[in-house]
Amino acid sequence: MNVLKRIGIFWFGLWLVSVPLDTAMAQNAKKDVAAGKMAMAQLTDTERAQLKAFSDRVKEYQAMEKKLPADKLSPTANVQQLDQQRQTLREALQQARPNAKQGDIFTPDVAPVFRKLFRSTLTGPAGKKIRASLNHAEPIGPRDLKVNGVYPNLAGQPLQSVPPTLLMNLPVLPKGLEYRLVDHAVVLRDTDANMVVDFLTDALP
Amino acid sequence: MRVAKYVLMTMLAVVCPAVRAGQTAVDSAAGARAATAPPAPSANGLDLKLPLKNGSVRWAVIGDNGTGDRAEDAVANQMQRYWQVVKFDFVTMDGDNIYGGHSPKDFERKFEDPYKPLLDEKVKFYASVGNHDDPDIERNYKLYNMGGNRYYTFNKGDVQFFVLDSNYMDPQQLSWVEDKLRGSTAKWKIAYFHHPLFTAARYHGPDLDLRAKLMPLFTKYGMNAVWYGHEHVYERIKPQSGIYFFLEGNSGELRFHNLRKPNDLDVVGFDTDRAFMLVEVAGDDLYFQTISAAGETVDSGVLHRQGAATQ
Repeated sequence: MNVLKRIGIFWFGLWLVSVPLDTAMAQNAKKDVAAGKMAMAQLTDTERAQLKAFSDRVKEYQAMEKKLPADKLSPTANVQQLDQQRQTLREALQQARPNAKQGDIFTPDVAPVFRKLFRSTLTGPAGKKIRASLNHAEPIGPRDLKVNGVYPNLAGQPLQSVPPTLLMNLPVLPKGLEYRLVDHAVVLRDTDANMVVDFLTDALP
Repeated sequence: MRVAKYVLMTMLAVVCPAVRAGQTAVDSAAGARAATAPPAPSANGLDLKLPLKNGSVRWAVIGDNGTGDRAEDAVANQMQRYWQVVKFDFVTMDGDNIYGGHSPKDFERKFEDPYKPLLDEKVKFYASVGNHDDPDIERNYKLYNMGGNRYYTFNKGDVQFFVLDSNYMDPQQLSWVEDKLRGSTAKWKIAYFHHPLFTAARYHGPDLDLRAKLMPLFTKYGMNAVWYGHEHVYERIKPQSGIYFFLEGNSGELRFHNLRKPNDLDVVGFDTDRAFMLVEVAGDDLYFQTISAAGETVDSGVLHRQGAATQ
């Protein structure tokens, strides 16, 4: 009897603990569904925590960039000056993170979460529209991507547009950073420096 | 008799712009009758269809222009000819402002040289960015008047323009569009950006995901007209959910015979030469004229503001 009582108390306790957890998860999922973030809604709490850690790493990168002495771009009719400012900023970033390597921000634990988000979005209700948009956006083929390197759009290659539903289902980035697609990879691009901050291969199925 | 009538109408058209506009009035909202009246030569030998009313807002539209080749120059020359009479204050750009490299020389050859006569006359250019543009250089390029922003808004008279970056329509930009539209008290709300929401062109086709995000906002907040490019043709599209749509993407590039024919989307389509547009907003009317690089008027008419009382 005692054993049965103990088992009963154990399961009751477990249920008590899991109810608020389930409710929190369900609430997050509900919010995401309401906002049209269907892929986000499918994430577990662990996966959400990994995305939060990703966003924290992005914020750290940005805080580091803000401390650099290089000027940000500002409006001028002098294109050469804009080019020069961009190069100066890129060099300052390269010097500030000389050991940066692929996977520093898209870490191995968050990489499968991103792949899951892309997969779910592309196979979800808006998947057909998104694939059509991707195909109409003059997709660029494979390019050599290098962390701290120039984003490979020089010499006039078009920047592939990123469908809005995909962007809606990825963690929000602060101003100055953006997601870009290069073949099947997703690149974290520093817009002012036109630099690859990090990239994740095989992000798109 | 017919000749005398034509001469009389021509004289009237020169002295009375309203008569000229009335000749080719097209009310697209009411079903888009084709402009069938013979072109009326006007000042400077131009085939002008705009009424040039006092106090109106006048501008030109170009898209996919930045090739730096002779075709871009030819369109720019026509713009300059028409500016002499229309005196439009500014030019809106549907994106792909600079193709290929983006060196200082490229900006000269593909923008500053072709449009020098207009720039010298203090005509302002307001750019949106296309997929061939370098968004971070161009948003900071002072002659594009983007103020360092990928997306922005500006007002001219009764018109508020919403200039969007369709390459990267992230949630922040969508919120921004909604906020700005919600707060707008402008009589005319006009958006322009690069990627088409509706098109009968075959090369890229419409961006359906972008359409799914923007149309609910446009309809909810009363967008009046939308311009875009990306396809290298000209199209005046039948109103969609009551909104007027134009595709002007052949001001430098051209994709010959790229429009599906027949199609049930276009009121007028043009894919055999480069072109630009002239637009004039006066009160509740928006007059437009599309002119080819050869100087031919390929489309013209007047659109009545949605929700405004009909005259």
